[in-house]
Amino acid sequence: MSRRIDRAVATNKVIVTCGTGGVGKTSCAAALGLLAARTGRRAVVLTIDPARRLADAIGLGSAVANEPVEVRTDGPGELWVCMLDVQATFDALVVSTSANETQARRVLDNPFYRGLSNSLSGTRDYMAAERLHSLAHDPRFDVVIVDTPPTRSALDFLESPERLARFLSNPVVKVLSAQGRGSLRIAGAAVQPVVKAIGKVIGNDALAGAISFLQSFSGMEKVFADKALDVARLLRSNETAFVVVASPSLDAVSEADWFVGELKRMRIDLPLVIENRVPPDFGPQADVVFPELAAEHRSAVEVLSDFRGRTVAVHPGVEFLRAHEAAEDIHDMDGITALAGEISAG
Amino acid sequence: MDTRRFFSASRALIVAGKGGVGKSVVSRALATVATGAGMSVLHVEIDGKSEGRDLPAGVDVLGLSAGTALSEYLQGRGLGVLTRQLDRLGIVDIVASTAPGIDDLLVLGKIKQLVREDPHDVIIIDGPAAGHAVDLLRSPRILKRTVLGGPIAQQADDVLNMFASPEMFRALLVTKPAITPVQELIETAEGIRDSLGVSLAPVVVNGIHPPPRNVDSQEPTVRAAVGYVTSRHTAELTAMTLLSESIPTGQLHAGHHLASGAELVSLVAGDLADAIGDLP
Repeated sequence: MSRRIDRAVATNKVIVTCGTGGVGKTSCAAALGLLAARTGRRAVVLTIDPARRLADAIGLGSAVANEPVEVRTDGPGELWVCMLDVQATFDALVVSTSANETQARRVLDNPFYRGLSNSLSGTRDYMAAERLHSLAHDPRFDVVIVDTPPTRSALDFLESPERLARFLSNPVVKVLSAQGRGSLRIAGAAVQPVVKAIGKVIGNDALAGAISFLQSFSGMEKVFADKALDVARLLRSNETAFVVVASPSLDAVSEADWFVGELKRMRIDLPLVIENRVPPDFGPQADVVFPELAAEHRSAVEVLSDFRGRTVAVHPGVEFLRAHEAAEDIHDMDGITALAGEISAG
Repeated sequence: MDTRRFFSASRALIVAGKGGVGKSVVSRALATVATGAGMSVLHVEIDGKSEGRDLPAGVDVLGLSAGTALSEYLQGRGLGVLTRQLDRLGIVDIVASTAPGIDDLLVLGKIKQLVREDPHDVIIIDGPAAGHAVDLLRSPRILKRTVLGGPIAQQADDVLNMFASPEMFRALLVTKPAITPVQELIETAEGIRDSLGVSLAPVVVNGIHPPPRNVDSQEPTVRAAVGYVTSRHTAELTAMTLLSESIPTGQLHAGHHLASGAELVSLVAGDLADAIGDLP
């Protein structure tokens, strides 16, 4: 078992796919899950993207939710899929870390908390890390495959533990959470004008809501931060394998270059790159009849050859796998099975 | 339809679409078409770092970012004296966390101001990537729930008023001719139209391959290529039919081009100019 793809699906505890939109990252995550299931492991694919792409890609429609559901496969192992529900994850986390039911209720009922858990993008990153933590420790699964959102901020969740710690240790936040309940009077003279001004800008109702949230939250932040650091360690350990998915257009490879460099910056090894959606090569006779298909294939091969050179320069041990563009979108397990076949063949 | 009439229908068009569909290329191509028709164009880039890349001469460019919009706003509203402390204390982050969506709302507030006061004939906004466009447009509604009064609530009301007026503001959604992005576009369209009241401009379908030609050859590799081209074409038609059944605002079609950068923008602009001309 010398190939890195075989090792990854057979032994890694976590596999993270990243890449820009439109490269087929979600389908690749599902295909990697299928390959893991074929080695006899119990795999769960977690999609962080709010869009329903995973559900669409495997043809499961609305059946995919926060709780994993099992998908029938041809392997001896198991394939489960689930989609990050930020609100449900945050609620569960609050309940499990509260000292008692009253504290949990106070946080959950706070209107500021509802707003925070619904809309803050940093919250999504943090909850992604939390969900990964709980799935990685779930005895039902051997491997978690994480399908990150299709943006550059996809890797933000790797650093969310540090960000949360920074936020909670901010002097203004500390002063706010130490205040008398419902009152805007504060002890720290240095930050008092700032707090007043924030109140003026966003309204005192919103500020009071925020203050009472921070107070109800008090004591929980340590548990939050510990779990987050645990995830950060797991992601940087050799139990985790990162996979960059690229497709052969100049825009897509320049985004892939960014991910490749970002992983290097975070000192994370990149074992695998999937070159997906490569236009097929039908051979010289077909090229004469369809010069446009030949041109699509040729241009793709050129773009990818440059990309390989740049990637190897940054991550010398990286292994490249290639999969072709199907005539239509992947929208069921047959499509995923075909993709898995191409990926495992290299 | 006359090009000038197409672009005069609203003061501002926000171009949105998921990653990989060519949203930024389409946004630049639309600016190219409007300039070509003799209109003055302001191209607004949200969180973009391209600074007018691939745009024809004569198009003015403005960059807006959520982070800077919030800092500017705080400095203009009573936190001016504390400017130096803003960064050191991380106030911007705290306000953004205390009133989630406030930075997005401030970007929309700037757009509203441009719609009212900017002298250009048309404003084309290259929206943020992927699903973030919906978060951006949803921000006034979210803030209305957490912030009851004051300048921010007023700002949210003003932006919602702008959304309700198609002469001021419309969304132009972009997709590829494939089932998954079309399904996603339909969901997005329903969300922003029904719950936010934003009107939709015709949808741009980008990257359509030409229909297959008749080929006599019995050579297996050639037959395989014919099969590939034919099923790709059928899948594209199916996706576009689904789109027109769900969103009856009309479609503008742009072809698949093996080009990049300014060359791609100008090819797509050519296709869109023709497609606008063909609109009823």
